[in-house]
Amino acid sequence: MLKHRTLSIVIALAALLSICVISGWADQEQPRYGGTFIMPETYSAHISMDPIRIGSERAEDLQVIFQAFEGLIKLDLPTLKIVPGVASVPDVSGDLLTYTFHLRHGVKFHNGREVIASDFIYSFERLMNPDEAAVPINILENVVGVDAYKAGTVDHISGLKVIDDYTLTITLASIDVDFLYKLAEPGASVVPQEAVESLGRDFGRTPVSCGPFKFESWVGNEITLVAFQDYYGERPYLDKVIYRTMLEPGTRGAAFEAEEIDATRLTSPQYLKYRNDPLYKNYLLEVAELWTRNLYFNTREGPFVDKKVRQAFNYAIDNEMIIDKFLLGMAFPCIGYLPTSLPTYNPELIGYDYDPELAKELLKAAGYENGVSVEIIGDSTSPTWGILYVEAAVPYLEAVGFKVTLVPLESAARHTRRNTGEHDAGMTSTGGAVSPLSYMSRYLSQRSRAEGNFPAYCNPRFDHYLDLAGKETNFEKRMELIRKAEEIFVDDCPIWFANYSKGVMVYQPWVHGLEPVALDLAYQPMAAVWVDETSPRAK
Amino acid sequence: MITFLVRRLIQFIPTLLGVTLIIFILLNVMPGDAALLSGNPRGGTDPKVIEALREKWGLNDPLPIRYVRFLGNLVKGDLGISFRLDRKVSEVINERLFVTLRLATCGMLFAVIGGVGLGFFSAIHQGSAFDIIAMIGAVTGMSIPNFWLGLMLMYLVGVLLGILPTSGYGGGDLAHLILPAFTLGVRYMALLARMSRSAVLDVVHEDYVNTARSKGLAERVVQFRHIFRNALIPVITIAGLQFGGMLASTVVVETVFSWCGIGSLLVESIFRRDVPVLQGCILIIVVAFLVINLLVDLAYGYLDPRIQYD
Amino acid sequence: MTMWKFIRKNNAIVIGGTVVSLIVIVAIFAPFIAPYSVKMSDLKYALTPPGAQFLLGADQYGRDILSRLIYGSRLSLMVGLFAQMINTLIGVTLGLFSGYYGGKIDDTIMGLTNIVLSMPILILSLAIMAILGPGIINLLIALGAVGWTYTCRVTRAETLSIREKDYIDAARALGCSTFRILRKHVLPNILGPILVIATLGVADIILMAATLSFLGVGAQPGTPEWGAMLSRGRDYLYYAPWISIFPGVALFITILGLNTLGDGLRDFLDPYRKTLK
Repeated sequence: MLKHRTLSIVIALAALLSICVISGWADQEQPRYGGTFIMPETYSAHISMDPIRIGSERAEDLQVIFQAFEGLIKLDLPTLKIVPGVASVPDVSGDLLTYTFHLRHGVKFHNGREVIASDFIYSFERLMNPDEAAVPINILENVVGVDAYKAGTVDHISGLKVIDDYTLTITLASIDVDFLYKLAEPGASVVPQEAVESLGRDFGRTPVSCGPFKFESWVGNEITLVAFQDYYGERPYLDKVIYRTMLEPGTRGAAFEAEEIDATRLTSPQYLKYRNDPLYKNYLLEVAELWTRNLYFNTREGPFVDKKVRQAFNYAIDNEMIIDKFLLGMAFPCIGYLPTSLPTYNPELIGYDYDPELAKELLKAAGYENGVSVEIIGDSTSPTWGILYVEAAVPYLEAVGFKVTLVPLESAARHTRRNTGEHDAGMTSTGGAVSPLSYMSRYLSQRSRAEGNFPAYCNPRFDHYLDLAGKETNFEKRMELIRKAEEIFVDDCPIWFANYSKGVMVYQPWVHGLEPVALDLAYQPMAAVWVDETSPRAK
Repeated sequence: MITFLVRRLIQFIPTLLGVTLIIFILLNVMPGDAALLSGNPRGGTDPKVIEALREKWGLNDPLPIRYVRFLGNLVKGDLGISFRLDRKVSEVINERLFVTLRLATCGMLFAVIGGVGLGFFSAIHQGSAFDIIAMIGAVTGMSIPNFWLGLMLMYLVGVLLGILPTSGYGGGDLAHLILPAFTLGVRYMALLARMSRSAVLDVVHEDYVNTARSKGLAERVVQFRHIFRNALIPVITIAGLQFGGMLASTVVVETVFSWCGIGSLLVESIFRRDVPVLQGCILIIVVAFLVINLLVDLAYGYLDPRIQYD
Repeated sequence: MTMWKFIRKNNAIVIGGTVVSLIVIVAIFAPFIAPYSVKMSDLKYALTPPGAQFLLGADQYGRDILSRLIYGSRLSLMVGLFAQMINTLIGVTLGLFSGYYGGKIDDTIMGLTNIVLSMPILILSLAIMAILGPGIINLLIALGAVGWTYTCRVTRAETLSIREKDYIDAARALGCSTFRILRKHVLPNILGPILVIATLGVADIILMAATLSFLGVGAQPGTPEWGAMLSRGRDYLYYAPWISIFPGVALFITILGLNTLGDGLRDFLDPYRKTLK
C-alpha cells in the first residue's frame, strides 16, 4: 500500500519536474524573424509622415515616424538615453557650443543611396526654411546663423558645417544642456534631397529616410511599414507593421479579443477588466508615463489670482480616491509637477494632502466664506485629462464652497479660450519631455499661454533657478536646481496637481519585445519586437 | 416636363451658391484657429510658426476676399488644399468617397428591400401576428442608437460568435461590410417599414381601389398596380429625404467600425477646423442631394398621375 | 360606446398615451420619486452593480442611475418636445404656403428648404453648437433650427395632392378665404401625417442629441440627459453595462410610447378610417 503511494508520488513529481524543464526550455525562445504586427492608433487620425510637419507631442504620427526615420543620434526608447544613430554620440568642444558628429559609413537611405554629412545640412535647412512653415523649429533655433537664414539674407546656416562626407559640426549661439534631446527628435531626421524634391507635397504620404522600417503604403486609415533589408544595424524581426486608426475603445477591445490586433492601449474600465482576466493579466505593460494631469488656474484675473483660493482648491480634493475609484487605478498620485520616473524625484517634497477643513479656512481667509463661483473649461471627451475628470472632483469642491460650472469644449474652441485667458481654470495634461528642464520650462515667465504657460505663471525666483539649471553642466547640481524650482512652483500652486499618467497596454501572448516606454507607451521600438508561431499573422 | 427639368437644373446654381455662402460663413465664424491646432496640442509651439501657417493658408485675409477666392478656385475645379493634411482636397475626398458610397448604398438597399417588403406584407395582413411582430421589431430598430447597436453587434457577432471581423474596411470585402451596413440600415428599414405600411393602408382604403375592385379586376392586379404604385409616393419621399439623415449615421458607423470614409473625414475636419475639406465635402454632398431630390420629384410625377409639373 | 369598447378599438392611443403620460408624470414629480438627489455623487460607490442600495446601480462617479434616469426624463422630454415643436411650426407654415400658392413663393421656400436640407444635419448641428457653446438650451436651438425641412417637404407634398382635390375647388368657388380653406380643409387632412412625423421627429431629436454627445458635443457634463448617459457609459459597456443599458431602455420605452401614440392618433384622425369603422 505504502509502496504504491510512494510510486505515485514519485511519478507525479517526475512529471512535474519534466514539465518545468520543458516549459523553462520553451521560455528561452529565440526571437523569430517574420510576421505582421497590427497596432491600433488611438489618439486621432494620422495627418502626415513628414516629421517637419508634426509637433513633438503628436504621438499618433510620431509613433510611426520613429520607425522609419533616423537622425544623427536617437533616443533609446526603453531607457530614454541618447544613443548613436547615423552618427556616434558627438564630441563637444570645451565651451560647450560646438558639437562634432562622426557619421557611420555605409548607412543607406530607403532608396539605396548612402547617407552623407551634406544630407543632414539639407535636412536641417529644410526644417528651418521659412517657406516650409515647419512646426518643430525649436530644435535648431539656437544654432548660429539661423536668424540670417530665416530672414533670407543668406542661403545657408553658418553654424552648420560639413568637414567631410562623414563629419559635420553644429555650433550653438548659447549653451543648451538639452540640445542632444532636441536632436534626437524626429524633426531632426535626415531626408534625401532628391526624394523630397521629386515627391513635393506627397513626401508626407510616401516618405523616404533611413530608419529600420521603410514605408510601404498609406491606404485610408492604415499605414504599412516593411522591414528595411539594408538597414545598417540589426534588421527588424518583423516583416511588416501596420498602424490602423481605431479611435473607439470599444472597437479596439473587440478587435483585440477577436485576435485581429496584436496590442492596444487600455482605458480605465478595460484596465480593470484585463488585470482580473486569468489569461491577459500576464500580458499587461504598465509604465509611469511622463505626463502630468493638471488644472491650470487663471492667475491673472478671477478668483484664482489669490493664492489662498488656489491652495484651497488643492486641499479640497481627495486625489487618491479619484484615482482609485474613478480612474480605477490607472494613474499615479502626484505631489509635485515632475513625475517620479524623472531623475529629479524629490521624496521630501511636501504637497497638498486631502484636507477639506483647511480648504474651507483658506477660502474664508480669502473672503469667500459664502462660496465662490468658478468656470472650468476642459476637453469634452477624455475621461483622464478632460472635463470628465474634473467632474469627479466637483462634489469635493462643492463641499468646501466652490460653485463649479463645467464647460466641455472641443480642441478648437478650447485652445482659443485657453490662450486668451477666457477661463477661471482649465483641465489639461502636460509634459511629454525627457529632460526635466524642458518639462518644467514651460512655466518660465517669458513664455506666454500660447507657448505652454497656461496659468500665466510668473515668479522671478522660479525663473532664476531654471536659468541657472540651463547653464549648469554638472548633472546632479542641475537636478538639484530644478528641484528647488519645483518647490517654489508647488508652493505657489498655479495648478491643481491631479495625477501622473499611467500608461497601460495589453498584448497578445505571441508578442515579445514591447517595452514600458515612459515617454509615451505609444512609442515602441518595433525593430526589436517579434511574434512567435502562434500568431495568426506569423507568416 | 423639359421646361420643368431645365428650370430645376438652373435652380441648382442659386442653391449651391446659397449653401456655399452659408457654410463659408458658419465655418469661418466658428471659434477656433486651424493654425493653432496644427501645432502642439499642449502649447509650446512657437507663435511665429502659427503665424507663418496662417499666412500660408490665407487666414489673415478678410472674409469676402477669401470667399471670392474660394469661388474663383471652385470654378476652375480646384477645391483647395487641406489645412490638416497638406494635400489637395479633391484627392482626400476621392480616396474616401467610394468607401462611404459603398456603405450608404448597401445600407440603403438593405433598408429599402427589407423595409418596403416588411411594410407591404404587414399592411396586406393587417392585424395578424406577423404585422404586430414586424411593427414592434420596427419600432425597436428605430429606437436604438446606432453606436450602441454597432458596439453590441461587434461584440456579439465578432467576438462571442467570431464569425465576422469586428471592424475595419478590409479592402471592401463582404465580411467587413455586413455589420456596418446592417447597423446603418436598420433604422431606415424600420422607418420605411412603418411608412410603407401606413401608406399602403391609406391607399387600400382609397376610393379608386374600391372602384378598381368593383370593376372586377383580379385581386392580385389590384394589389400590385394600384396600391403599390401609389403607396410608393411617401416612401420615395422618405427614402430621398433620408439621405441627409443617413450622413449622420455614416459618421457614427464609420467611427465605430473604423471605416475611412467621408463621415469620419467630416468629423476629423470639423474638430480641426479644416475649412477647405469641410467646404469640399459639403459641396459634394449638396450636389448629390440636389440630384437625388430631382430624381425623387420626377418619380412623383411618374407615379401619381394627378401631380402635374408645368 | 362603453369605456372597454373604446379601449379595444383604439388600443394604440391608450397604450401609447399611457406610457407617455407616465413619463410626463415622472418628469413632473421627479423630486418626489427619485430616491437620491440629482447632485448625489460619492466615489465610494462608483460602479456599484444594481442592488439594494442603488436599484439600477451606480455610475462611474458613484451617482444613482435610477435617480438620474428620473430627473433625466425632464431633459430628454424637454429637448425632444420643444425642438420638435419649433420644427413643426416652421415646417408646417412654410410647407402650407409653399404647397398651396405654388409659383414664386413655392420656389423661394423650396430653395431655402433645399439649402438647409442638403447640408448634413449633423454637421450643421455641430457647427451651431460650436458657435453657441455647450448646454441644453443651445442643443435645443441647434436641433430646432435644422430639423424643420422634413416636415416642410412632406406638408408641401400632401398639400400639393390635396390642392387638386375636388372639394377644395368647390370651397374656393363658394368664396372661402385662403386662411379658412387651409384651416378647414387642408389642415385636418394633413394632421395625421404631420402628427406621425412629429412623433418620429421627437424620437429623432432625442437620438440626434445622443449622437452629438457621442461626438463630445451637447449637454453639460453632470446633467442626466439620457443620450449623454448612454454615450458616456459606452466605455463601460463590457464591464458595467448597467450604466448605459438603463438609459437605453428609458429611451426605447419613451420612443416606443411616442410612436405607438402617433400611430394611434393617425388611425383615429384619418377620415376614411372613421367612415369604415
